[in-house]
Amino acid sequence: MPESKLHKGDYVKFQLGTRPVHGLVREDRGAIGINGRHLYLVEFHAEPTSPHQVELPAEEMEVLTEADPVVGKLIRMNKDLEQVKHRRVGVSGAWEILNKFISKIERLNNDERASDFAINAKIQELKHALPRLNTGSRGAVSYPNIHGIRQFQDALNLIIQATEPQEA
Amino acid sequence: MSSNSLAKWKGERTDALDEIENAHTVVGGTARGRRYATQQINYSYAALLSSHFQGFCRDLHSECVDRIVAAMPLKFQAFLRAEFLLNRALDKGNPHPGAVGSDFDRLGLHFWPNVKHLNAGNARRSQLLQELIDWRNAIAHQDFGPVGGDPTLHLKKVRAWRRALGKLALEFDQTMCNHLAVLLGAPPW
Repeated sequence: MPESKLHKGDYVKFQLGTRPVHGLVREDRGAIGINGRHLYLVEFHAEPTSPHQVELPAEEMEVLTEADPVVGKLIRMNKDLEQVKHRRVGVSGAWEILNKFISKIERLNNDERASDFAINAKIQELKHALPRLNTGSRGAVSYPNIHGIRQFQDALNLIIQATEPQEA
Repeated sequence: MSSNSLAKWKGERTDALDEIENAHTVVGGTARGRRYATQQINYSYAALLSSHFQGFCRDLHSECVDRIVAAMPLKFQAFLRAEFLLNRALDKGNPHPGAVGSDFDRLGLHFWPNVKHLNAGNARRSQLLQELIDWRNAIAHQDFGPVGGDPTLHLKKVRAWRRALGKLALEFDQTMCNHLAVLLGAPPW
């Protein structure tokens, strides 16, 4: 049986007709394709509204790596968020990562490959959400709550998908 | 030959259902509370059966789409795949006969009439599928009014549903094999 080549959470690029798009692997659907090849459920944003999904074999996708100048920065930022999510950094380190996240995204927003519609809205949303991630009472600083980290990761996924892919 | 989806149904999905069937056997004896425990296992068994049958139908649909789309020019493939998945009922809700029919009908056939034509018993099996879904919803919402008001679910009933769904899985596989053979010019499996 063919082995799984991609994993949940991988960022990928594929052709949608004549247009290259970015997507996020949401699920390995298993060896259900032709000749037992794996199909992967990929989420992508073809438009500013709700995400679309497609099931693709690995050979129709290219995994995005840190070599890409814009996407690479975003992938590294996701790794930082993973550190917070799994509590591998202290409380102050976690808050530093989240604060830097917003300013890094704002700087990236000036990149001409980024689509403003998604990013501007998300930056505002995250700025509003940030103070609510501290659940410590009487001014104490607590570890950012897990729901909030997921919100940051969802925003990052949207931004990566909205970033204009470079033509091959 | 059978589809990869049917192989998965007969393999890992059957194993998972057998495990819960075995759990029912393990909770034996005559001690107080046994009836309550087996009742909860029967509820879990019914819910798991529904979810695995949904998984099978979703797998079979995806497998058929993969076959159909592979016959198209490469540039059309990704967006056709996306169109076939758009608002797929099996991704969101229960695998009730209406949802199964509407998703498979989009692949160019009258799904249920074809399934029922294969075997006269399939009409009754589709009713049993609907009955299972009604129970699954009753269990999930703890509202047993729609299934007659009595919350007692016997193992015998769950086993009857499982037999019916096992047969339906074979018939779905055969129906789609026949349809794709006409559409693509050769049997897909």
